[in-house]
Amino acid sequence: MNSVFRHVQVRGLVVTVPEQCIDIRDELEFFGNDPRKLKRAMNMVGYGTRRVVEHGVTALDLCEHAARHLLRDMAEEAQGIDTLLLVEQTPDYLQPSDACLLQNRLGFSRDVTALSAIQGCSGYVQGLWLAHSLIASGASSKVLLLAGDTPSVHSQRSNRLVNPLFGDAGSATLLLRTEEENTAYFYLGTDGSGWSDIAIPAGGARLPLDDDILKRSITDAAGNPWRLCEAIISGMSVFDFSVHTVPEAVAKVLDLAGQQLADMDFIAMHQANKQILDEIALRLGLERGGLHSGTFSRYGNQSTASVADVLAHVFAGRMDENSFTMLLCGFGIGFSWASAVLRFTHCRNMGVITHTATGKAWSREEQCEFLEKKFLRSQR
Amino acid sequence: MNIDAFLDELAYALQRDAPIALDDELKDIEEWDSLAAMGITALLDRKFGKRLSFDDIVRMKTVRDIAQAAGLEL
Repeated sequence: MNSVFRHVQVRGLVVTVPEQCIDIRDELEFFGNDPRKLKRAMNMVGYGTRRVVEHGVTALDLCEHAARHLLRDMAEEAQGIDTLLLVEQTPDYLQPSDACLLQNRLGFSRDVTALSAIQGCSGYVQGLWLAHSLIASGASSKVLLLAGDTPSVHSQRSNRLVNPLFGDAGSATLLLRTEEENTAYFYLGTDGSGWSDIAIPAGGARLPLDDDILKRSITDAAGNPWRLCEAIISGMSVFDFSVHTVPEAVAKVLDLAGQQLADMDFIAMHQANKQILDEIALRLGLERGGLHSGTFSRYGNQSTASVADVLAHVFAGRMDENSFTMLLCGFGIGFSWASAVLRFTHCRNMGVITHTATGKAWSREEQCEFLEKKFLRSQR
Repeated sequence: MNIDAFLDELAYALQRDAPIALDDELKDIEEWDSLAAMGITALLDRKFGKRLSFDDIVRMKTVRDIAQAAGLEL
């Protein structure tokens, strides 16, 4: 579908990454201890470093950290936020939605709306679309969009089909109404026939986590382990989907905007990996390497937060004074995708910051005890 | 596309510096791995309009098999 919105501005943005850093060069053992194989994977896939959460830190924590930074740094502009949108795929609880927890943790009034959406690699652009839609319609005047995920927790380190690709991040983006026309163009699509090509099948209502699921553990011919409650990624299907869908999504949004690729100051793609982005670049008529994949190499594929992190990583501190017309495109799990042509002007881009724990972390035991007490007292 | 140009494209897709010959066995090419198979799949699709599966590619034995899949006159 196509959407065109006016009088909406992205006013500020910041991305939080965990402190823990894994360097692919420290994982030589997974490349048969052959430095040439490692180098080849670094050149082709773009492996470098990735930031991953410590045990117990969640997407909600990373998004909260980013939100606190934005609210502190832009206290005046943030006055009057009436909508919290949270896009993620790794919620703290099955119920309620993390968006409600965030309202409380961030100290927002009871008069805000807080909604969660479950989306991955296309999620940031879809979240921007939703925020634009709410503001342009007059339903909302200021939206705080939180988009993040912790994909690193969904695979074992020794699953090399999945684990080395992913890094974790949370982001906060402030959108508000502006008198300037600032036209924004979006194209969005979905193809649920690819649902099992990127998936974490067990743990939801269809395959609840139970002993039988946890006991099933398989290993492929190359030694990659997998359980039903972990991420499956069908590499070839995802590659095929990406290199066919993204050029089309780019063409469609450019057509809608009446602009050419060459008119864009920058193209911020979901950081799937370098090999996929290089192939998309060739299909867009660019050189191999013509699409930015440096954020993948520095932080990993950050799922829902990836497009936000490209903006934060590449344009930190540079959007206050300068205007940039950008093409954004998220694509992946679902399958789903979203592209946008947006003009960033007077945007406070606070870049990439590192997560520090806010308050005391609850141990697993403490959490269980708290919730059990809650149950035992629930009659009162 | 002539054979030489095809072999150049192939080397580029494999990210291999050393030359490739039509009768080379794929198993003898150091860069022949899953990354290469993905690159070849993309090349055949993008340049030759042939959409092969990953399994089709993995089943190939020689560089000639790839050229034939591309539809080149050999």
